[in-house]
Amino acid sequence: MNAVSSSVSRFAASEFFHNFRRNSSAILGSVIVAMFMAMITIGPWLVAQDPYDVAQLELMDSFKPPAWLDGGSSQYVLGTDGQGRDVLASIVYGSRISLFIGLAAMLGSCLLGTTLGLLAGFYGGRLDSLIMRIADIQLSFPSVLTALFLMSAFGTGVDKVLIALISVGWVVYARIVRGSTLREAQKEYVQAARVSGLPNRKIILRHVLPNVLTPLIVVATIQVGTFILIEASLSFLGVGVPITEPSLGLLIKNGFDVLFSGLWWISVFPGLFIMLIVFGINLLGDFLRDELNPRLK
Amino acid sequence: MAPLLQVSDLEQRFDASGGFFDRLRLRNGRITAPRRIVHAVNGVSLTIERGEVLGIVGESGCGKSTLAKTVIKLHEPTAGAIVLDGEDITRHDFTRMRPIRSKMQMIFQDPYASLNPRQRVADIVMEPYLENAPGRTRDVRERALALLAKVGLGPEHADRYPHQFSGGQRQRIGIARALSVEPQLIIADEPVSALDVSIQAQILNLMMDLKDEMGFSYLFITHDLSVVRHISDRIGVMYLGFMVETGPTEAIFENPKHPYTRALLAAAPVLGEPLAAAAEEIKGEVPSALNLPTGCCFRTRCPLAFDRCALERPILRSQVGGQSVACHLHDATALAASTDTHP
Amino acid sequence: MTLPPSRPGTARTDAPSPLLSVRGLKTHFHTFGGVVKAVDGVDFDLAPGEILGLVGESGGGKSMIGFSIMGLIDAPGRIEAGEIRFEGQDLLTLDEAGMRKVRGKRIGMIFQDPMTALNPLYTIGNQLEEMLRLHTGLPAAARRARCIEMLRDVGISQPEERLGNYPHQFSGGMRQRVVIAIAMIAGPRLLIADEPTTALDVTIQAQLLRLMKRQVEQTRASLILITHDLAAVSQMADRVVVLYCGRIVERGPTSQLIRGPAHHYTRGLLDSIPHEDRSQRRLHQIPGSVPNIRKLPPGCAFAPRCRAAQPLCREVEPVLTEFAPGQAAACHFPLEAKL
Repeated sequence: MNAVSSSVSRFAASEFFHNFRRNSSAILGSVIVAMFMAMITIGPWLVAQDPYDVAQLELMDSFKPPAWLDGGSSQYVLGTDGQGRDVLASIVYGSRISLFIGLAAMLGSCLLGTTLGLLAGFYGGRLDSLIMRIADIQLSFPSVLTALFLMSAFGTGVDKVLIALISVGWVVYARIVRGSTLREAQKEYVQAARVSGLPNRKIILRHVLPNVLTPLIVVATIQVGTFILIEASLSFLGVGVPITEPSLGLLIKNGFDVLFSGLWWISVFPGLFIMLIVFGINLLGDFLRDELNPRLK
Repeated sequence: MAPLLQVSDLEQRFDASGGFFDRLRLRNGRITAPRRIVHAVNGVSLTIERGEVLGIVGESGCGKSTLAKTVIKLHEPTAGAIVLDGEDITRHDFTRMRPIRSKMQMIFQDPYASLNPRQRVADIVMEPYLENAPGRTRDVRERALALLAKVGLGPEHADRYPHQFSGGQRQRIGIARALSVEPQLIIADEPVSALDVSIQAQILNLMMDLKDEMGFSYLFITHDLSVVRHISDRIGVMYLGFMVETGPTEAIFENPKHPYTRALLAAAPVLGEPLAAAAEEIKGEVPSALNLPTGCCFRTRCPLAFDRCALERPILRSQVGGQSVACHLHDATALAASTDTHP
Repeated sequence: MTLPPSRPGTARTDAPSPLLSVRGLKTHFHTFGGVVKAVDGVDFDLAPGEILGLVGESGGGKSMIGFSIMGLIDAPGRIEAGEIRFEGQDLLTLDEAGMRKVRGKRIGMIFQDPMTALNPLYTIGNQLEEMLRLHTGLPAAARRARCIEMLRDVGISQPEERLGNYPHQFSGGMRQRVVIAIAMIAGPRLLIADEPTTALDVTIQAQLLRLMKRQVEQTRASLILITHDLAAVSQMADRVVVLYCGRIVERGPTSQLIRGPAHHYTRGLLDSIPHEDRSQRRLHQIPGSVPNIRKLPPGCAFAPRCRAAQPLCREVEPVLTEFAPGQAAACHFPLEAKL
């Protein structure tokens, strides 16, 4: 307990926290992200219904406008869709899927990209050429196309979306990690580890890996936002998540069909939420980049 | 008794051509892919006795650091032989090198880059020991503290990270790491050149005290003539990957024979003495190690070069003063039957 | 304040007013961890034609004095107080546009790293000529002739061809010659050289020191040589200023100061240089390390490392006191001066 409180007080006195407190956009970003997290964790207990429990749906209440408009009801603050689903409840549940996909794809990309980048940078030679050429090919291959291939071969599903996102996302980690690895492996502490008789596996894990991770924090943060956006586009195009697990993107698509009939709230509110969360994540990412980039110091 | 370290005709060449596509050149209408070979160390021989300090001095690019890193097998030697404590380690692979690691350790130049910023000091200094003594985990902490005490650091330093230390203290940590396996030979690659002069004196004193106490030997690489003079029993002067002159420290400083050694000594600033006259200045620049000059490596800048220097590469020959010189000017005074002298 | 007597050869009698006069200079950096007083109340004068050595270890503040004179202190650094009077004008009252007319034209600067001091995208001819274009009204043909003359002066052979070369086509030593040429070409009255030979080999170092000395003697310019290398300073400078933790601990004529330093820090620095006499097996060492400049001890900053420190030293900061002609030290218990 003492260790926890001492590390908390050390953090509170750190330069990082000091700069954070003076950076209003960083505070705004973290407030947005924190509210979003709170919404998806405790939100399901606060909203009117579980939108995926058919028994709770009232067809009578379909296409209700938001509460402050004529015909709106206070029960459905942001209105309902064609099946009587509460839009707010759909957003709460859809955000969970969107954020899960964003985070899981980021973690997967980070793991894969870091491993390949370490191997390429540390061993060099043919292995390096091979990995980096695959990375180049991967970059010239849009994620939509990858997703399309996967869907046509295996059908839709969250797992296919993840694979499509990771297959594009790992490249940026591999490139950054390879660069830092090349730089770190030149340093004398790695030579010292060699002289101490450490096998390569230990040198990579104990010495190189901890020293190449810092720049990844920024990339990983911003990538969660990017992935949420890509996933939304994939779902909007119909090559994303299945109808049984609607993300924010799928909600937009569902409402899009009736958007021009004046029933705008079904797609506009999920869209606003996507915008808000990605905005918050990017504000946070920008702050981290300024803080962790030694060149700007 | 055999010397502790015996290096014979060591050569180290690097391929600097890069990948195949980087090598492609268009020459006279034909596409060629020439290789660019860096001749970093060219047939260097040396011996170090137990308890002895051999200083290697030379300017940047003379191959002294490559020599050090080849001897400790951070680079695989291209040709020649390295015999440590009677065992030929020239072609030892990773597994066979492991027991050698406790006999030979290294101290590095840059006190900032030579310590992993994410490791605690106690872990840094014990790493060679733990790697070479698997299973022994009982008295690790005590050993770490004893090592730190040896280099003048207290137990309160053991759990800190490198960034909390000054340059001199970091170099002490690096020395403690090398000592953890109680090596017989320590290779020190410019260990004090990144330090302020007052700290430099502290580290040099510490290194000499430890040597006197533990009885190991140093291969001491430096560009600083006053440091090498202070610390070495014998000195080797390198130029362009060749050993041009070796001998006891006093002999080299009192009576330098090779024109390069003379120029080097003349150029070094001495406290309170006026700037050396321009007459002793050597002209021009060090030739590229990609294209070694024929004959003597120093002839392109040597004020005394004559026609034989371009034709024939001089070899180290023992001289009357006690040193060996690779220079045709001194062939006449060379001792007979000493062509294969090891420094 | 009286000017210290100079070594023979640097006539100062005909130049009663100093070229540069620094008074009470304080350059502080406001960082998160506290205020770094990089330069904390420094006074010195520089006569026309004089070579002054600023020596000290890292953290002594010697480079920051050079940057302060050039007006190159960036945030979080700030010149808090003082006066830098150059040719009768206080440089600290000038704005950026005014400083730009001083830099290069009236004060030249040579940096430590010849690899980064030149712009890799321009030929050295461009970079030399730019100085003349900015600071003189010479026509193009005359500018080119001056560039060629300047390159020849700094010992670059075939200057006509070399003008068209890019920095990467020169070796480190040659680049530093080019940097010296650029610093000198507009005819500055003062040259500030910040560790000009530290990155170079010892044989090249000697060449460049000789070159700089010859250049300032020919043009009767003054030189501030900033270095950690006492031996190099002893060969070059007329007078030496020794800095420790942003303050002057001792100053005086070079040979006098090296023969008989009064401050214990100067003595320690001189003694820690390995000496020819190997009978003295252990080097003299200054114990401990430079204190954290954000939390300097009260009194004398050197007291924690000083063998002669008394209780007084830990309470009262000593002031720079002249105790021999031209030689002054900030010490309560100075060493006996050898004159």
